[in-house]
Amino acid sequence: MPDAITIRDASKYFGAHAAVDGLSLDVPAGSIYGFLGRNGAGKTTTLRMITGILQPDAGSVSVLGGSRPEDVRARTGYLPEENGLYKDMRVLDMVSYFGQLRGLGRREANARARTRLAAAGLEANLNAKCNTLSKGMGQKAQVIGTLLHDPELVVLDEPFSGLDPVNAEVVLSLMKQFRREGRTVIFSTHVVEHAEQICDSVVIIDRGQRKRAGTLAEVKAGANRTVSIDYEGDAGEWRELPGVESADDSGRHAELRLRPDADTQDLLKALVERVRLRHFDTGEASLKQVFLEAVGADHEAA
Amino acid sequence: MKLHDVLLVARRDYVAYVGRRRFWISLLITPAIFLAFMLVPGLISQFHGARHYAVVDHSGWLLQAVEQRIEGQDFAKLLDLAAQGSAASATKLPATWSALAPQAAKLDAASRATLGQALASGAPAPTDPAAQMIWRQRDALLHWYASLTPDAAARIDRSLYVARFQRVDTPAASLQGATAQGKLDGYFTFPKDPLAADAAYTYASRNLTDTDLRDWYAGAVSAVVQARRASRAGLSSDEARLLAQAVSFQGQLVTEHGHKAVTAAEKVAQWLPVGYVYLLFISIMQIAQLLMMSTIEEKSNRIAEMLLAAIEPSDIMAGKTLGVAGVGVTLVGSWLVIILGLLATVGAALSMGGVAAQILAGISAWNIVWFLVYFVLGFLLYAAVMGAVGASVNNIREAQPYMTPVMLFLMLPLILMVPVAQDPTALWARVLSYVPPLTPFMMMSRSAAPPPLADYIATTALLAVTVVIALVAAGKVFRRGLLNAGAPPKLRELMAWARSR
Repeated sequence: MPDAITIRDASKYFGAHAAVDGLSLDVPAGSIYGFLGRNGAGKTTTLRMITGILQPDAGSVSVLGGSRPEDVRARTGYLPEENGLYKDMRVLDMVSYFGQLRGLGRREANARARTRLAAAGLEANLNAKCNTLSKGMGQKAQVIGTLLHDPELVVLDEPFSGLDPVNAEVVLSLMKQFRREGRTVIFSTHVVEHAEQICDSVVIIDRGQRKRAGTLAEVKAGANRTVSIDYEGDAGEWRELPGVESADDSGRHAELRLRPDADTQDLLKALVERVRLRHFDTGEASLKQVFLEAVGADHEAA
Repeated sequence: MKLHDVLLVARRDYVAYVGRRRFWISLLITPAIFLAFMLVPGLISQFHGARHYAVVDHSGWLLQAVEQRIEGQDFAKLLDLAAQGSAASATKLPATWSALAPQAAKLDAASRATLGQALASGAPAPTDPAAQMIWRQRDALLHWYASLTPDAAARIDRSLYVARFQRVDTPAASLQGATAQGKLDGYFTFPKDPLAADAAYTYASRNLTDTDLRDWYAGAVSAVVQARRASRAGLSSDEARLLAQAVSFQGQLVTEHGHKAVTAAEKVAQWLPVGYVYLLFISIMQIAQLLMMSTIEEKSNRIAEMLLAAIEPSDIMAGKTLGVAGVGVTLVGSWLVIILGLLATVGAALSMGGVAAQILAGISAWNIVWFLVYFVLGFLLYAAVMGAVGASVNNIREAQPYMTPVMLFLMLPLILMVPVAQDPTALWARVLSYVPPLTPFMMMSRSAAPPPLADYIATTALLAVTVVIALVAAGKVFRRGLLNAGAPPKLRELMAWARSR
């Protein structure tokens, strides 16, 4: 199956500033793909190029079998980070309108809007004006409107922004459902844990450039091994321990990043002499670690 | 450009505006203002009541002559009402006058005017049989008029002088005090020799800006004095009237085919361009601004990015422009229908109904076609600019600096409107017609001349090209501006957006 999205050496400039700089990536069809990066890294600009809102100044972006993004709008759904409602419009009319913008006929859009709003518990609000909806209800209406045309490619910019854990879980479930339906979902976030929970593949972007990309396993493989410990006592300077490159110390819990040549047995012996160990676990790097390594080193260098 | 997407956006915006209560308020408020202009002055004058005045007559004869003249004019009006014979006139007139209707109807207006003066002054009885029958009722008519109060007169007809002005006998020593206290609106003083060339007449009042009383009485006194002067010079009244008659030139319209007398409708038509320009100005000013405000609304409501992801920015802009144009056509069309209807109905009651007929007769198909062409192109041009402004800012306050040059271009035609209408073939008027932002207004201002066909074609072509450039540039600014949430761009940056890919 061809990739859902193919980006080759894409760049986008705003004046002298390169928001995206020579970015290349492939998003497999039918997967959930995460765009990770700090604020201002270029995630939103990339998503806007994928949805056709912006055109790259260099390179190419093709979606859904090699088409230009603006040619496949009827097959793409996009929910931006900042999304709003037509306050004076009726809920049903607004949702139907968004569906019609994506190519649905008026009657079809109205019927789908009516059904899906009712399924989402908004049946009583169909004829109400959008400015009467609560925030949560408004977000539901927005999502329904964005996806009314059942797009093959779903693009979400910071979908977890401002959500409580319960609603965040709802969004995660929705994404999994899309994947089961064979749709491709891409979303941007700077909350790495969400991406680790659900993504098949990720790309880490910093300063408009790709830092790491691939499946979770591929991305983590290049990262340092870690040892996770629970302890009591004063461990002193972690870097003095054999094989330890750096550490995240929370007080009684620490994540130790090891150098590639580190011997975990030597480390265990050294730890036993310093602290009272409750838990000692070797494992692969977390996505957060990978993320921090990818963007943190550049940040420190800067 | 996808027509489906354009029409979808247009429909949404049109329904969004027309469905709002404030649209209907603005639709009704302009005709309401027009209606107020028609009715309020009359209502205020009713509320004001009759003006009270006094006269100090040092001549000993002028006051009586003026009173007779005024009475004669009122008698003539009453005879006119009786002659109308309509149900409305009959119910207003007392029996004394309505009984004279058959005789009054047999007389023409000039005869009724002469008879009215004769009834008031006691001049020799007329020879006409119908006038004689009315003359026989003179004593009863004079008695009735003498007992007529201003309120009773106003119920018959507000144009009767006795309804509007009431002379009050006031001792000379009390005049100043009575006027200062508001018991009198003013008092007139006649000199000893009113017919002298340097005769000094005075009018004293607490409010000299209210010229209604003064102008009316001055007219009545002038007529009497002029007639007396003519009589003293040995001239008959006809000769005196001829002496006083001013020269007037009848307008003749010159065309390529010759010249012809100008009809009343054509006289109205010569000033119709002023109406066209006002209509253009109001339409473009109000309606194009809707586009700016709707765009600002979509930005502030965070809808813009969702629209940009679904359809092309140029389609969004075209759709919004079309939707707003529809709102404008609905608004302006409704105003025209309501205002012309008011002129024909309420205006007819106020003797203005003929104005509507003259306006309609003066409107030519040629002018309508070009008005529509220039309205559409002018609206598109200003809509493009205002749409771009709306996309570039985050609120109305930020839009103000951009609106200043736009308003300048919109106000300039209003300032030039009358000079252009007076001299539509002037070189400067022709040159300004080729400045695209001014073209619609200048060409409609010149339409009474009318301009050569070459000017119509060339200015339209130039304007159309400008509109296309403006729409393309505005589309680019629209695309960039909709996503810009920071400070509004400076002019140089805005130009860069317009030239960008």
